Amino acid sequence: MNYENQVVSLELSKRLKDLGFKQESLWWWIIRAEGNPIIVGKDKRYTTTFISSSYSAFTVAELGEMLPIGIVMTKYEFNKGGEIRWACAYNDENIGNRICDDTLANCLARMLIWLRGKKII
Amino acid sequence: MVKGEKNNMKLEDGVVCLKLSQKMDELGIKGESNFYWVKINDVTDGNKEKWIVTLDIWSSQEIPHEHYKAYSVAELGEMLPRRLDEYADLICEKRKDEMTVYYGGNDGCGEILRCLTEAETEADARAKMLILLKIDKYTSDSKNKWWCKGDNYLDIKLYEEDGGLTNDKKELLKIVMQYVEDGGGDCKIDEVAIEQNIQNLIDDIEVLAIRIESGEFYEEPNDEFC
Repeated sequence: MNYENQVVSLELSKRLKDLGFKQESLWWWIIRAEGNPIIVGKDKRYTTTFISSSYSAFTVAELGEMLPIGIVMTKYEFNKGGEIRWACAYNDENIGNRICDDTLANCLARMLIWLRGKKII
Repeated sequence: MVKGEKNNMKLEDGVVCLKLSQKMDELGIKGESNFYWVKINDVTDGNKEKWIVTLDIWSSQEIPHEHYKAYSVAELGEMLPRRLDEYADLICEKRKDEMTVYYGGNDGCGEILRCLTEAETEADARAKMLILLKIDKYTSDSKNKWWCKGDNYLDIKLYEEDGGLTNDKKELLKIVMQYVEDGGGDCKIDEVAIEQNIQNLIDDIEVLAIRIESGEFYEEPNDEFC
């Protein structure tokens, strides 16, 4: 598994930052003045030059800490084509939702965004 | 602290603990990992031996003497099978103070639970499930013997594998294990409050075996055909 699949995608990381999630993580997406976005460890974040912006690239473990009790995750086969995806749900007496994505990190990030939208967190 | 905001995690907290990493290695559980537990001599602390988690950044000449793969939550998620059978899917659940991993679902007659592991961290709960599936292979033939196998069952199996049991205890253990496999389940072992501490667990096997033989816990085994 490459590093990128272990953390939230750049697009979702930006949304999490926009929604005000605390930017405190082991890994960071770094946008440099030139070149492609890269993922760096938090120690390297301050030594990488020409950064125009940076975003917390949360891991699955970090997202798990941020999510409330009651989150349930499962794997499923997409369209019976052998492609495995992740789904997560938040079960509450009044609210239930199911969110899916190709990677567990993105799936949990989408759940955080949904929960913030519903003002649950 | 605001809900959804707590996050000051160390690398060690997001991967399998050292003890379970060693056990996975010993059992031959193989998967890809970007992280390793590595034994070092800390020059900043009197050359004391320490275990740290690092990235797989060393070259083949630099591979440290003692190291184990430190699987992350995401990596373990890839390694765990999606389902054990048509009724038992992988579910990971965040509960109060612990993470739970189990294979369960509904077979049309009711809820079924094949096996369940718990730990403080998600990585450890997933690693324990992988270990359980490794030491006790699930097959469609053994389906009916998989009912609520859990942490206590795993602890006893590992203790047994490590050769930590006397012959007397082994005999008692057979009774307990047979009971678990006949459908009693790990939760029944919990009922006699012998979880957490492995030595207590072993000490109490005698008590448990007597109670099982007396029929105290008898229940109809999980019936595949309802």
